[in-house]
Amino acid sequence: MSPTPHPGPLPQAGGGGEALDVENLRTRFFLRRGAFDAVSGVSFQLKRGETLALVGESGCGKSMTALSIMRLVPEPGRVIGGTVRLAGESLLALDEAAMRGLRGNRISMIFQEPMTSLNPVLTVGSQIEEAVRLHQDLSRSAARERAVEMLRLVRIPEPARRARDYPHQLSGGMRQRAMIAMALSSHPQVLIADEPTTALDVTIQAQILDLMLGLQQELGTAMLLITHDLGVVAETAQRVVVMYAGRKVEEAAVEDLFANPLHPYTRGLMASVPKLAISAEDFSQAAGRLQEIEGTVPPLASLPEGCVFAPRCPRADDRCRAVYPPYEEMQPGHFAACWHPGEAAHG
Amino acid sequence: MASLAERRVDLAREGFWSRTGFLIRRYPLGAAGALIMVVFVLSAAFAPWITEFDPLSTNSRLSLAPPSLEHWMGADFMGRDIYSRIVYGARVSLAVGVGSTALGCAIGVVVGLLSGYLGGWVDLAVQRVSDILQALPLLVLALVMSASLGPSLRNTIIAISIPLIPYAARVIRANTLAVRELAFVEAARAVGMSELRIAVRHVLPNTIAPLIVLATAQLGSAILTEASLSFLGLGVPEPYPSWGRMLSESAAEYVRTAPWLVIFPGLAISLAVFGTNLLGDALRDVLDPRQRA
Amino acid sequence: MAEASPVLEVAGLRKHYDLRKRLFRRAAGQVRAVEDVSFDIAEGETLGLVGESGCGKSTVARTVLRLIEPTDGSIRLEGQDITTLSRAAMRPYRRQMQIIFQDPFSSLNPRMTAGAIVAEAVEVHGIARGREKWALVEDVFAQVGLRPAQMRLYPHEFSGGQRQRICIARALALSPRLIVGDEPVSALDVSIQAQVINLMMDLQREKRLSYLFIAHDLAVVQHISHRVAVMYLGRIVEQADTRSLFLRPQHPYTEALLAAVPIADPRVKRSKRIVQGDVPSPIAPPPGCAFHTRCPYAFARCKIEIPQLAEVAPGHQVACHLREG
Repeated sequence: MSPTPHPGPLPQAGGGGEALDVENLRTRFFLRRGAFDAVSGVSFQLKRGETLALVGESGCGKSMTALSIMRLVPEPGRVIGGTVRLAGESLLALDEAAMRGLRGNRISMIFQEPMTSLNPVLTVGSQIEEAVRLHQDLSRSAARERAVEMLRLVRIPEPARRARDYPHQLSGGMRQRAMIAMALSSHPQVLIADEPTTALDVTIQAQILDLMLGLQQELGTAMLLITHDLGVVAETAQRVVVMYAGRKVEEAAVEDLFANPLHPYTRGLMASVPKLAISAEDFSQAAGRLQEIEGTVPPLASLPEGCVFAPRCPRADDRCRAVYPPYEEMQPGHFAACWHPGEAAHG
Repeated sequence: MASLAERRVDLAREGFWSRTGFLIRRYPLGAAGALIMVVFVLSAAFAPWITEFDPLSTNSRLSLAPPSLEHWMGADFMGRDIYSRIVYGARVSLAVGVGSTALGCAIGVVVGLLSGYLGGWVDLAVQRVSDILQALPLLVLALVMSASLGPSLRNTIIAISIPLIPYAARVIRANTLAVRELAFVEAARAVGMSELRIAVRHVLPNTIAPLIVLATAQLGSAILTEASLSFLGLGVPEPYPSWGRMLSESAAEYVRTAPWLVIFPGLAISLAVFGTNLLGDALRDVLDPRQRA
Repeated sequence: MAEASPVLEVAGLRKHYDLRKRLFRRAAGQVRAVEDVSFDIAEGETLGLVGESGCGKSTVARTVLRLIEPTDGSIRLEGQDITTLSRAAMRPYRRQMQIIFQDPFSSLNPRMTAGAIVAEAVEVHGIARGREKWALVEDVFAQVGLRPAQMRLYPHEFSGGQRQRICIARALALSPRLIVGDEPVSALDVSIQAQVINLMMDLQREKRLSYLFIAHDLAVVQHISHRVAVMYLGRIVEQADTRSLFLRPQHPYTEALLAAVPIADPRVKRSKRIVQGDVPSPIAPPPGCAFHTRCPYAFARCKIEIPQLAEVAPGHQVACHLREG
């Protein structure tokens, strides 16, 4: 019996060339002692087939941004402002039933821990089947075939046999592949990947990243990649957004960001990560001490006045501490929120 | 996002009254349960001051007197003031309840800790004995113990504590197994501490929290068991007034002619057990999510 | 100049776990978590131990500290053989070697204050009492960058990086010669990692500490180590000084590891030969050289015979048939 043909990328619902358009997204958490914004006025556009990386450390709001887009924000949080458009269609305006129809279908998400993201009591194949049947009008046998096809697409050897395995029978890398298969089974327009390789061994990480890039090109999926690893960003993304304390602090094409980081936080991040030296030249350049960013991220419930990074910033002056810098285009396509972009430290 | 741990610290830093107010608003049922228990405890403590009559003195002229302004709950067949007997009975119920729960938990903690920490055949043996004890219904076990020890306050406390031991041991053992694997236990070993010290100073304090919930729930069960034992003629003997014995003495004969002999002791038992259950449930809600944090 | 004897000498270390079949006690097989591992660490030196999951590096860390009992082999701490010492006899040696774990959250007893945790270590070894003890704790706190006022706080009141500092303080309070770090910075945010790495390196310089540094992040290992050993499925497959290992890797697995690390520079487009396949399970390792199932250079001999470590350059050892003669 001939395999079910790929439907190809689904037709656009209308609207511009952007797969995902996020504008001024704001997500607030309501606690007894008060409220704070985990995501504060975040905007970006994701073009079709493009990879945008959201970079930052824990608590910066990158995961919460993803969850806000998917409308999966946990209590006591809520999206309270902004718009999110998936190929022109506003996601925040939909009711829950309509949103469910889109999740896993036109916009999918994969998470860091493949073990807990897969149901341990169902076979891998049946979980993909379920995802397929939910969003596409296929018979059981057709769905099963599609599931096996997806497993083949993510380069799992012996996919038909593996489809009958349970998650615990697969290695970490295989499970992540299965997750990717499930997420891409309906050929979504947007794939959100939240630290997809952080929990994997480095050789497996390389395989998975390679796979994701290949699939992205083949299926034309736009990818929002969330990570803290600058190496992963450099190798996979075309554009990068750097987040700190729930806000965007810098945004640029990947080459521009690494060549000329404007915001002191971006600079600090890059300088504090040891770089793997693989040539004699690298070795002679290697610094003795890693550059530190002093202090720690302030609690979101009590952010300082003015620029949120000022308390830790080597360039901060009184204006920084009083007024929050505007987010501006400093160079073509390169945005930052800083009063002293690209400068060396003061004093 | 403020973690649960941070929230706990916030709560700890606020004043006592605002903390209490917050807890009452959040857990009204638990607050009601706590209130009931407080009333019982205070009644028991201040019994001489809140009663007029001696619970033991008989007065045949008052026999079966219905509730009146003088005798709020009436008098029983021997003319004893029921209200006083209820209040003094609270002492017995609480003494047995708290005593047996405390004793059972204390032994249970030791057994559970040893069992969970040492593992191996010690654990195996203890678990099987526990299984046997738990296979018998609480009341049956208490009955057997009480019958063999003979009725007295002390023996009642012991008898009721024994069925509690396996429950407490189970909870402590489960937690011990979990805590034992945590890094700080291994770190303590690396520092060179003896196993005994590790078990007592590091593992034990981290396993006790869920026991509080268990103990509160068991308190109600203990009170009920004491009432049952006394009802059956075992348990607490004369002269201590016991709600259970009050029921047994009057239930069959007087329930239709003088229902107040039955209603008030019955109410007292029900209310006490109800109160501990409410409190226990609320405590579990308050403590559990934080334990997982 | 006479060579000072190494702080730690590990020879032929083995750790095997028996797989039991339920109650019937018939061993169904063995997991060779650590197989024939040997290395030395000199005073003031850091040996980095790298490898992926299942390679046995964490087991090596714990076995060296006798937190896990070795099946075979010898461990010499400052020249003394501590492999088979009883618990009581081990006690004084425990002062000499301490460990820092990966998870700063579960490494500290949530019911003890930070100061009490560090003070307890001092008490247990009778180093100081009373006021002297607290003075020592304050001093050690200062060395790791914490304030005395923080001694009375509970672990949950600190951030991850600060908790790790408390763990380091606990280790330092005993004035050890060797500190084993089992992924000590892996669970920390990148900018905090830098702080802790710098701290560890500063302390090493000041106190001539030796480190056995276990990590999966190659860049971090490269930064902090003087020598590096690469493990695969329980064995050391390559061992050399840092520069030689990273500039001239000899083992195909080391090459694969290095090729797989993403480089934080978009201009570098390396032709990455990505090694295929999964890391085999230690329960059923492939015969011969464990890496042969994924090795691009594997030939017949690799499937049959386990390669032994051999020196291919001064101080550079590799276990690979390709490099032999």
